[in-house]
Amino acid sequence: MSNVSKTDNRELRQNAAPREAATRDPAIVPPVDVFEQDDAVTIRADMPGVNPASLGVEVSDHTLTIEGDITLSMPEGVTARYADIRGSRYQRQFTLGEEIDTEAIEGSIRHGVLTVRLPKRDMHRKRRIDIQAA
Amino acid sequence: MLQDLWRFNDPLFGDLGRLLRLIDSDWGNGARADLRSAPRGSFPLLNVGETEDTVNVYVFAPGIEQSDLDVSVQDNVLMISGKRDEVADEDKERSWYRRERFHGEFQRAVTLPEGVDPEQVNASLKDGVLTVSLRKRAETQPRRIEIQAA
Repeated sequence: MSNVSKTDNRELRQNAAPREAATRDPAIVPPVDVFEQDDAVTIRADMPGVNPASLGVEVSDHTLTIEGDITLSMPEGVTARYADIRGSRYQRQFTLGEEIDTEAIEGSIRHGVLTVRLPKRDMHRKRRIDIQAA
Repeated sequence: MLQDLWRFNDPLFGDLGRLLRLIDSDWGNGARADLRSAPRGSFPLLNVGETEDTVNVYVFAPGIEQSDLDVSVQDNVLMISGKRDEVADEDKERSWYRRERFHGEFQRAVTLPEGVDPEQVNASLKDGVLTVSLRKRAETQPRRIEIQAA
């Protein structure tokens, strides 16, 4: 019996594969901290279960997309008893202004926390203006 | 009357609001909860799964060092506590736009199904997910019964 249902599942998955992008399960929106320093804006996002291989950081058309798949090693035959996390991936998007140097964006993930550093172009950095005593 | 401040005559928002509040209150049970339970969505988020011989608790605790996590089992309650500190950074001035991430100390208790052996617990931390695997006592595991040919 279990053999039969496994085969059925595989067939379903194969049929669904071409439409996968459209029908993936809904993404979790990760909580973020965003702060700005003199030379860069930094985003920190909680994405537990994501490793460097399953992480995606992309910029296109002034939009920064961060996404990642949750990879957990689970024993076979697990049934859910309680679930806060109801999804298998994270995604969040940000709109970037002209001042961000999109070529120089760097990201890293450690212990499930993603850090993306968005350096500002030189010409857009804050300049302190000295006030002269009259 | 003070109630007039939250009673709306608008039929749509009146009913919708009542329904949303009912859902928020866990269908009317909100006033009664397990003593140690945390509101849904508290940090750290967790999922609990079960197999025939183990109970597995997945604690989504990103950005926490192993030394800052404490896991203990007492009777059938699993306690997870720890703290997450702001990463100390170069002393450049920061202006904050969003602070949605949790900071500080936390504690969560999970009531486990009966029959978990507190002596046989494994915990591991990887990519910000703490996995606690608890073995069920042999007597509570399903047992296969051989059928004898008559």
